[in-house]
Amino acid sequence: MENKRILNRIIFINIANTDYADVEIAGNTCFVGTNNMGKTTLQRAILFFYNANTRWLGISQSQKTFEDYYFQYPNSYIIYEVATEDGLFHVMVYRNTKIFYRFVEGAFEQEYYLTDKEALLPKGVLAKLNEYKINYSDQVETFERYRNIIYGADPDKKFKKFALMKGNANYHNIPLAITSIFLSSESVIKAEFVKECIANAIGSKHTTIELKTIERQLRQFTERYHDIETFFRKENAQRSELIRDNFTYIQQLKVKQRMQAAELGGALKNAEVQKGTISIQVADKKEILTKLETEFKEKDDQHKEKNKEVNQEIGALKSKLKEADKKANEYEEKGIVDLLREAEEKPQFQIELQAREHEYGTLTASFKDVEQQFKTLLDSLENEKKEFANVLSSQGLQLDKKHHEDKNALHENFRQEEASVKEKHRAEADQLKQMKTQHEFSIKDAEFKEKEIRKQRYFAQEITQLKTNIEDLSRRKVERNSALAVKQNNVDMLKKEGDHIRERNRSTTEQYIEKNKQEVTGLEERIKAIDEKLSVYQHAFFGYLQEHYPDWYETIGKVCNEEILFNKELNPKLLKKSMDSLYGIQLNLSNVKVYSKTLEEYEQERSMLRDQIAALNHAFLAFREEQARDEQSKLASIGKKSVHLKNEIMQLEYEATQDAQKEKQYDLDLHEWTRKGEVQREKDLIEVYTLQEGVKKEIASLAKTLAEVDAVMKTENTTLQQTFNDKLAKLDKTFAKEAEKIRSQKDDKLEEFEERKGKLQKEKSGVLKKKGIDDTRIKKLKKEIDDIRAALKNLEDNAELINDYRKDKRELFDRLDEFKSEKEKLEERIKQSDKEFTQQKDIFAKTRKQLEEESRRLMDSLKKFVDGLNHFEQHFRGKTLYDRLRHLIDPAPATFTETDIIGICSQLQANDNEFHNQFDKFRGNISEFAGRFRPDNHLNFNINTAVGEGEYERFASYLDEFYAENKIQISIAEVAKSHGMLIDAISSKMKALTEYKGRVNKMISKMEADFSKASFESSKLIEYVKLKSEDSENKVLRKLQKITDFREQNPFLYGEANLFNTNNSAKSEIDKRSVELLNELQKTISEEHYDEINVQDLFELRFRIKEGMNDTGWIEKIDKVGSTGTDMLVKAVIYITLLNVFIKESTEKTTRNFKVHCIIDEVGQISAPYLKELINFAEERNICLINGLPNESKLETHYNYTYKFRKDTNGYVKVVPLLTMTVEP
Amino acid sequence: MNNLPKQTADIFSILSRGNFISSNGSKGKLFDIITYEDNYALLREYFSHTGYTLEKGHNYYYFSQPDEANLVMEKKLEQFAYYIDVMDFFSSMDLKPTVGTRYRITQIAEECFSNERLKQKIFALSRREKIIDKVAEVANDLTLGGLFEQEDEDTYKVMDAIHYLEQVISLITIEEDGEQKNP
Repeated sequence: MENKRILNRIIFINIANTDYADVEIAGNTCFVGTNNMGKTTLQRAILFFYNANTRWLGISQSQKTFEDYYFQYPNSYIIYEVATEDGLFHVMVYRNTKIFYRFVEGAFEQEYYLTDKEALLPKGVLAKLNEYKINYSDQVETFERYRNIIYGADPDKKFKKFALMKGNANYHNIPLAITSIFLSSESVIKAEFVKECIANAIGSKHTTIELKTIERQLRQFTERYHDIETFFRKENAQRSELIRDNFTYIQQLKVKQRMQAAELGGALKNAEVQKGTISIQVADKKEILTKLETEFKEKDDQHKEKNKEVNQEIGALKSKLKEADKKANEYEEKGIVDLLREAEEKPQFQIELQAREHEYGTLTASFKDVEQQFKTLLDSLENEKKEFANVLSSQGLQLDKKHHEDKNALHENFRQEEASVKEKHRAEADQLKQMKTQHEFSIKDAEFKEKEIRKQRYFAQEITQLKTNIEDLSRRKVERNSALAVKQNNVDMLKKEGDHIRERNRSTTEQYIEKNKQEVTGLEERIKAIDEKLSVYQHAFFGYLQEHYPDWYETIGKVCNEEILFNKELNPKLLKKSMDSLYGIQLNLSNVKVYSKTLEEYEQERSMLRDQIAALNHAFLAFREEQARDEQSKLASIGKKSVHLKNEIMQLEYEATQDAQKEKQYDLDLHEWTRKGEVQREKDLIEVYTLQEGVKKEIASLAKTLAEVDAVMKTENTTLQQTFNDKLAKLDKTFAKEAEKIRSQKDDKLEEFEERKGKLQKEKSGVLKKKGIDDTRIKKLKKEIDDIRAALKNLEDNAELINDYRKDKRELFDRLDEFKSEKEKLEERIKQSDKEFTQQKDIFAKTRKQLEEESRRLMDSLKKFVDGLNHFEQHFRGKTLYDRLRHLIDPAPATFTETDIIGICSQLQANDNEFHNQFDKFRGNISEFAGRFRPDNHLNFNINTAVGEGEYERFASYLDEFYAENKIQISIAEVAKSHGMLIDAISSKMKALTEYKGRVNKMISKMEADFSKASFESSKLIEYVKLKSEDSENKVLRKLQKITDFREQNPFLYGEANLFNTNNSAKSEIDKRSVELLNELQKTISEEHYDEINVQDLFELRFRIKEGMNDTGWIEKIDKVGSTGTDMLVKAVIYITLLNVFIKESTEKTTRNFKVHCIIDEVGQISAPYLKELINFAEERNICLINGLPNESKLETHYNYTYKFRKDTNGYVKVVPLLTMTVEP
Repeated sequence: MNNLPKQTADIFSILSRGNFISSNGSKGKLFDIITYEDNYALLREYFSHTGYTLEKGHNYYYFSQPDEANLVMEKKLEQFAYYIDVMDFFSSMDLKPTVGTRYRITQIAEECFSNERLKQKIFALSRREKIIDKVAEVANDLTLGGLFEQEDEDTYKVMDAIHYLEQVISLITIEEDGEQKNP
């Protein structure tokens, strides 16, 4: 056995249709067997050792799966025995629901697995292994782990001994190449495959650029960029402002509406209360008025009744006066005066008659004795004289008596009249005085009223209400001004705070950028140094060692510094290999650290440095985003507060405007009410003054009347006195006259008597002288007697008339003055009564007017309330507006409102109309605004129209908040970050990817070198196989490269976190270009339908094969080269070359102390010499061939192992070795 | 004509099909391009040689043709009559067809189910069986006319070009005898 690691044996236990097969394959092996004998099954099992991938075994989907076909029983095993320098170990593969591996130390022994030719279950096997004290590993559960162990890439040291080779992490090409050779030996060899292998050989996990991820990120970026771009569009900014204005206005309208609704509610309640109160007041007033009217009517009736009686009395007096007048005329016509005079003289007539008759008798009685006669005559005369004296004294007594009586009567009459006048005037004066007093009271009342009026505060309720309102407003104004000042200060403070935060962040960012730049520059310098080393290493000592001195790291690498290693001037020459000395001195370097680095380490370091730069960039982007977030969150909080304050300020200012308007209105109203009050006061004062004036006039008039009455009384008294005096004088005069008359009569009579006495004496003396009778005398006496008798008769005849006259005189004529006075008194009384009544009437009219006025005012007020309530019921309650606001209207407490209900209803309606108009505009603006954004825009400018009106308000609130918190800054920062990260990621990935270009070229060179060795010297079958790489035609890669170039040209384009800043035009252009590049990339990715960009996309690979006379030229795929056999041969050569290159690549640092198998089925078409050449070709590269042949031929003689497949009687496939030999080269 | 925007062909291809270019649609970029600096005048002049006049509306552009065959005009009038009915339908909805409004077919159909008037109107507009199909047909018609834009399977957005329809409808006066007259 060679001292090399190799898959030594493969043992089938109960695998497929094989019960047991033990096949040694530690060299070139040939399987011979007709179809369906199990050749491919075995070959697949060998392939499974290398690739441990059930899907890469060439099993079609229509066939049973690997697990189901191979591991049909719980005791089915594939055992791979591996030979190593230190001995053998074997790998047990079994199935327990899935496939598991166990690595077992030591060679495969049948007794471990079989007892009495029966395979044990895995537990039994383990028991056996334990029994034989054979070490075995834990169960390996994954193919990946298994592969890592086999290819020496597992980090677990206890598995190191089970490795076939000491490969690196890029061993995957080996199983891939082995698999590809098995699977595609007859198909086209595509450049893509080789490219993939190359990529695998050099690739690491960082080499793939996932386009789906990039496309997703690009889509997100472009969408977000577009959203922000849309946001910043001028019309959208304007519209958003419009929306916010709309919203504010709508909010104000709502507030106003709520206030008006509450006002309406209050007004309605107040109206209800007022309606009741005023109705009662109106009823009271009506009642008072009715009562007043009734009372006045009664007074009127009384007055009329009273006047009627007086008028009747006046009428009676008038008729009496008339009758007196009439009778006086009648009496005058009848000569009452003479009759009365005569009547008065009647006793004298009777005495005269008696005397004459006696005289006549005497004269006629025969002249008895003249003496006697004369004595008798004288006696008679004396008697007559005495009688006459008696009569006269009687008359005198009578006269005196009468005079006294008349005088007394006159006195009495005078006193009566005086009393009557006094009485009359006293009543009148009292009345006037009473009236005057009343008027004086009225004056006092009026004065009091005047004072009251002067004191009275007209429209006190309204004015108080207005003053309260104005006071409220001014109080609120003060509070508001103070609040405004505080809020304004707060806003200023917040602004300063915001500026401070921005300034601080700006300086922090600058510091960060500076630091970052320095770090990046340092790292870039280091990368540059590595790049320089890598660019020159091939021509330096380092390259020489790489090429000619494997494992130089362990020796020279420990004693040479980089300066020497990368020196190009050293001209190294290998004098003697394997002489571990330094200029002839042997050193023990086992404990010395290796200073030099491998290419991979340099690349790793470079990659690490790039990663660090990327990390720094990412950290910067993250820092900037974080800072933007932090700034935004702080500023948002400030902005929120600021906007809140500004809203409050705006609200306060709005309230201030409203209040100012209200104050103005209240001032005007107050002025109006005050003016009205003053007008009313003026009016009332004028009324009072007029009343006072009237009353004063009345008083003056009364005083005058009183004075007049006094004067009249005085005059009347004087007149009475005068009349009395006159009458008394007249009476005295008459009395004196009468007395004089009597005296004169007496004197005349006495004289007559003396004359008669003398005459008688003379007669006596004559008689005595003559004694005869004188008849003249008798005749004269007779005539006198007749005349007297006629006069008496006349008196007799007119006695009735005289009596009537005297009665009338007593009853009428003497009382004429009384009647007239009485009549005047009565007329005066009527006049007075009328005057009094007129005054009462005036007072009544005034009171009634006042009451009616008050009643009218109350009715007006009531009407206003009732109309308001009716209007509300008829025109408002039925509306939806009421339903919307009833929660505010109904519970509002009763309040006095300036505006009436109709007015408030109209205002509410107008407000509502305005609200709806504004809301329509608002909704339209929002729809238009939101419509300009994508439906799922990241700024969340979406409207759920199904929700209703509230959704639009939510949207506006959100918009407000968005602006207040300046949320766009976060989006900008995020977009800037994703922009930076995208470009950075693309750039760094592309850099990482393009860095592999050198290695790709190196790989291709290696392959080419290997291909050049593949020329078959002996047969000259293949003149050459050439490979070359060209620049990639991948459009996506080109776009990616453009972005990378752009990134290189604009190394630090992340200075500012705002892609939308148009202030810096140069920066703006760069941003614009970068965004365009990203857009183009996105477009290309979506057009080209690539999922990822790999190392293989970096280049195009071209083959050129010359076989015999056939030159393929530079082709992309090797389809058919020559005949089938030739074609197979050429492809096998290419694959083996590739496998060799890959093995070299995977095990670069280790010595090649292992062999792998290359499985090529159906090689029957290759001619024996060519096959031999092929085997040798593989052999040279430490590769054993496993081939399948359908029939036995001479070909199998070229192999170390040849097996024939046949079935036993049970149908089990048996693998029988035909011969075992080593073919000499 | 070196200054013509590179998207001129795209613009022409859209407008010449009788479509609109609205500022709020997916072709908003083209709208911006036409609006940019002197592009409108340039394009108007350029397109005038093709027999089309580039017209400008409120946030939209379209082509007009001064001379058209009577048959074409008649067809257009018929189309317009249909659009008027469609506008009437959308205007009868809770959500009025203002610019930027997004309609969901399912939502419209639901409203049609609950609103008899709308139901009658949609029945008069489309002969499809299901209401949802009727609504979709109408929305698609508007989309074809450039008045709506389909955003996803269910969502349609009202374009700025709806102003064109509104403007023309506002020009229609109804005579007292009930005859419609376009001034």
